[in-house]
Parts: sequence; C-alpha cells; structure tokens
Amino acid sequence: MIDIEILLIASLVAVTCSFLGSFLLVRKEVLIADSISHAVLPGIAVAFLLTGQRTTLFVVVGAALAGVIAVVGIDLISRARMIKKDTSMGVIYPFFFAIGVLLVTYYASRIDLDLNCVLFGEILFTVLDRTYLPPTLAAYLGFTDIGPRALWIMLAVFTTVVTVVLLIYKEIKITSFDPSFSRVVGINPYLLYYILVTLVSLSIVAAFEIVGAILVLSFIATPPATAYLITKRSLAAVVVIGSLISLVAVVIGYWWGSFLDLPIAAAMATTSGVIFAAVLFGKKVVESLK
Amino acid sequence: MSDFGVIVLPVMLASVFLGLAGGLVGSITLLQRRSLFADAISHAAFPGIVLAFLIIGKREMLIMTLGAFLTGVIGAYAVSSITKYSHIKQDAALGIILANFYAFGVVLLGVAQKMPVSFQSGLNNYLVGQIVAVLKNDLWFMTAVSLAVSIIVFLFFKEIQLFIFDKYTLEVLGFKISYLDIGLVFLMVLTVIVGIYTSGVVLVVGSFVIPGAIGRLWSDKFTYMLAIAGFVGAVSGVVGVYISSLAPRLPTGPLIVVVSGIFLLFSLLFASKGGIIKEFILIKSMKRKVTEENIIKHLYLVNEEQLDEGYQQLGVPFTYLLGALSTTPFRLNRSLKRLARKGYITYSDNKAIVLSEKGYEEARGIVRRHRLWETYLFNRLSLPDTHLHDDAEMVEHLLTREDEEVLDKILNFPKFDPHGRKIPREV
Repeated sequence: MIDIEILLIASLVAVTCSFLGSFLLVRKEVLIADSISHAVLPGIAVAFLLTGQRTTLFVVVGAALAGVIAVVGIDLISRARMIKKDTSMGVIYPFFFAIGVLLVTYYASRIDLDLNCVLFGEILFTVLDRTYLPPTLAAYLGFTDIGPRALWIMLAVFTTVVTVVLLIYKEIKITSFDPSFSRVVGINPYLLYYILVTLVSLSIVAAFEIVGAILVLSFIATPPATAYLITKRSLAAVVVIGSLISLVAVVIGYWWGSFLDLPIAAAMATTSGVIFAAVLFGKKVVESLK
Repeated sequence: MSDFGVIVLPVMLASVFLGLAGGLVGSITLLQRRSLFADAISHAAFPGIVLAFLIIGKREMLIMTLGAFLTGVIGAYAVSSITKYSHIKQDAALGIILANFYAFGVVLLGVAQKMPVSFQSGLNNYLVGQIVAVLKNDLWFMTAVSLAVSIIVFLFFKEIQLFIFDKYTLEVLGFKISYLDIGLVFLMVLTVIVGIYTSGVVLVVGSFVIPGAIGRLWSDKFTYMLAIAGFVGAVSGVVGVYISSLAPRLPTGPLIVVVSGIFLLFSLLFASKGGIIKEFILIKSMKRKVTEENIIKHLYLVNEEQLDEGYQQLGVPFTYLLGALSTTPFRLNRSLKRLARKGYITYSDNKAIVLSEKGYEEARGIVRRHRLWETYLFNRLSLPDTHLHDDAEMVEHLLTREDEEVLDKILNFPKFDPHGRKIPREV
C-alpha cells in the first residue's frame, strides 16, 4: 500500500516538473528553475514560522511568492548595466538560499523542516503524514484516512499547472519561439513568462519536502532534454515523451533505491541522468553508423 | 592567547585567503560569464568528495580534494560535450549536470551513512559549509591552496586580462588560447573545491560571484575590480566565520554569503558604476539636457528666417513653448530658469523669451547637428526622407562637436539637408 503511494507521489512530482521543464527548455530558461528552487527556501521557512504547521495549500502559495520575488530580483539586477543575467542568478539564489538555511537552522525548534529535508527530500516520510476526512463524513462513509497529505497537495498543483498551461498553450508557444511576433499579435511576453515562473515556483514548493531543493532541478531539466534528443518534431511531443521518460526514471529509481535502501529521490534523479547519458551516447553511435 | 594561536588564527587565515582567492577567481569567472558553469562544477564535485571518503574510509582532505577535482572536471567536460555533440543548449546542459551529479552524490552519501557513525559524521557539512568542522592541518592546506591561487592570478595578471578582453592580441603574442582556457578552468575548479569546505557545495559560487559583482559595480578597471572583489571576499569571509564562531549552530557558508550579499545590496544602490542611484541621476540630467536643448532649438527655429534676412529676433511667449514641447508648465518654467541662469535666454519687456547671443550659438549648433545627421542618414544609409527626423531628434543631443566635424567632412560640407533646409554654419 505504502509503496504505491510513494510511487504515485513521485510520479506526480516527476510529471509536473517535466511538463513545465519542457517549456523552460525551449525558452532556454532551465536555470531559472534552479534559482527558484533555492530561493523558495526562505519563503517556506517564513511560512512555517508564521503558521506553525507543515505545508498546507495556503503555505504552498505563500512560499511560491518567494520564488517569484527572486525572479523579479534577478530581472531588476540584470537591468543594472554592469551585471548580466547569469551573474544576477548567481548572486540572487545563493543570497536567498543562505537566508533560508540560516532561518531553518536558527529556528530549528520551531520549523519542522531540517536541513536534510532541504538537501535531500524526505519522500519516505511524506507518506506518514496522512490526510483525514472530517468526522461527520468519515462516519457516513465508514473510513477516514484518504492518503498522504503530500499526494493531495501534489495532485492539486498538478491539476492547476496542467489546466493553466492548456488554457494558454498557444500563447506560451508563440512567446517561447518568437517573442517579437507575440508583441505584434498582442500577447505580452513578460506576462506569459511570469505566469510560467509562478507555475514553476508553485510546483517546486509543493515538491520541496518530497525531493528537496536541488534534486527537483533534475526532474525539471533532465527528462525534457532527453525527450528533446529523441524528437524535435513538436513541443507537444517533447512534453509527452519527457513525461513518459520521467515516469520510467521514477519506477526504475524506486526499484533500485529501495532495494539497496538508498535515498529514493536521489536514486530516481540519478536514473534520469543515466537515461539522458545513454540516449545521448546511443544517438551518437547510431549517427556514426549511418 | 594560546587559544588564539591554536584555533582562531588558522581559521581566520584560512577564511581571509579563501575569501581573497574566491573574490579574484569570482571576478574572472563573472567576466567570462561562467558563474553558472562554476555552480555546476561545485555540485559536480560533491560525488567526488563522498567517493573519496568511501574509498579511503576517513576524512582526508587531500584525497577528498582530488576526488572532488576529478568529478568536477568530468562535470565541466560533460557540460561542454553535451552542448558540442547535441542541440541541447548551455542552460539545460548545466542544469542536467548540476542536478544529476548532485543526485549521484546524495546516493553515495546514502551508502556512506550505512557505515559506522564515526566515519560518516559531518559529510553534511560539505553541503552548507562548516569551517569549525575542518581540522587544523586541513586549514593550513586550504590557506596554502588559496594563497597559491592568488599568487597565480597575480603573476599571470596580464595574460588573464588579455584572455578575457583581447584574445586576438594574446594569440599574436604566441600564446595557446586553449591551454590558457584549460588553465583558467582548472584554477576555477580548484578554488571552488577548496571553497566548498567553508561555504558548502550549494553556496560556494555565491561566495565568489557576489564579491566579483561588487567589484564590477565599483570599477571599470580590471585591476581595481579584482582588488575590490578580493578585499570584499576576504572581509565577508572573516565576518561570516566570526559570526559562525559566536553561534556554532549556524553553518559558515550562508553567513559568508549573507554578509557579502548585504555589501552587494549597498553597492547596487550606491556604486559609482551602474549603481541604481547613480544611474538615476544620469538619466535625470540627460532628460534635463534634452529639454533645455529642445527649448533653445525651438526659439531658434521660430526665428530662423527672420534672422537670416537680417531682421530683429522676435520674442516667443511661454504658452507657445508649452504647446510645442508637450511638457508641464512647472517643468518648462524650471528649465527656463536654468537656461536664464546659464545666460542662454533673456526676457523681453512683454515677458516673451529671447535667445541671447550665447544661446543663439548653442541652438545653431544643435540645429546644425540635427540637419547634418539627417543628411548623413539620407546620403550614406539611403534612408527615405520620411524616416530621418525622429532619429535626428534623438541623436542631436548625443553628438559632440568632434562628431559634428567628422560628419561635416565625410559629407563634404553640405549646404542643405535632404528636406532642402539650410544647414547653419559659423559666419
């Protein structure tokens, strides 16, 4: 029972991340996800301090704001003539992350989120934190435990992300490939960019306690890039193949990770890295044979 | 006192020299636009540290540094191979290497955690940095490495400067560009790895690049930029380590980054090059200049034909200028007052505005530059005559007297602009 729940949670994380990662990939903005994943930490820490509870949907939204603020900060700093965007990422995210780490360690007794969780994620523990039906409904239905809280939060974020992206799919495509044309047809590329950034931020916060700050980037960057090696036909193809690859990595990673009793989320990420390397290498071999 | 010599001194020396080396290498990295590349390398070094630990079974800094160096260089090579052998772009390649090498490191850490407790204790310290956890001998090792890095930067200063700004000259002088490039990457990897012991895998790049960015904001000169970055790096290192020694629970890395981050915020506001306040003042004074020049230009244009035919200059009423310049009465009034103070305009008896001799000369110069620019665009760039005016409206405020002479010469001292208006000249 618990195995299936872990796999479900991990699959939701993987598919949500790879889905958004595909759009970042074609925009050449993958590393903004890296900045966001580090920058949400102070947001999460402050949300913990204010509400004193583990991640609820409300806290997810609040902490995601920190990610968006960091992106605004990166944009502002790179407007200073002397500092390019890569540098401004390289200064903003360490600054945010540093503040986050200090908050988490200083208020260790009040923030139920230790450094291990930040760095590695605690996918095995997420299933221990259950969601229960309200008593009246539970009495009526005859059961009260409806699964891990993380599963429900991830499901809510996944649904939000997919719905929003499908609604503005055409606009995202236009702004990603041809920002100047998008202005001509009246789509504001900044607005679209910030919608995307907000979705990425939401997903990262939701995935944070499951896979940690850095591994989440593997889920965002690797499967879409692998898909991009396989097909260049269309954005939709990259999205679909990327999601499938991420699911394969989740299952294989879970299998050997739990078999050897190693950190599961890291095992999944490593697997997707190996798949990427194999596809890249295999493609070169095939090309050289031709 | 003995406490100072045994514990505090090595820690302080290590943090000073690490900060210095970090600031220097950080500046070079920033100018090469390799900040995020360095970030990927620091994460790629992590599995190397754990692997070295797993192989020899204890924390031996030299071996762990070698391990980190190995996987760090493999990571760097992998990033450049991915972009070279596929159509995946740099950003995605960096993200993939950074996250997956790190993931592999976490898996290895999981293996290490199965060993007896005494062995694996403190491996977490490599992720967020904890200088207190570093042994005394290792502190001397770190000091020596960072000192060596700083000396190398100092000795090869000229070559590095040329490498960043003028590769061509370097090639002409007979240097192998690719060797220098590899040398600089090695230098960066080495500094990143030694920095990991105080700042941690995740934050080490911040502790480098932030001082570099501060140097960039305060100076256009490479020498000064390096000096400032090295100084800020050293100071942040010492202050961060000091606070960490007062509150040993707090890891060193984040403290160093937050201290230098505060310096950065200050610099972003007040720095002499590209600081926000300085930029603001620049923009403000440029806007002022444009408004003032437009006012006297209008005064000139209204009177152009009269003066050419030898008549007296007519005064222009305030309301006319207000309509012509699309500005607010308040701003126009302020600009007029400034112009009057500079002696460019005077007021006639009926409060109309008149150009002084000095103002007239100035305005004629602006109109001349405007018309010369239009002629240039028309003759040399073959732009249609409907597309000339808007461009010239902007450029007239930017052209200097020297530009004007050059333009005049190139165009062979034209008499009329493409619209058939006379280009005014000194008599």
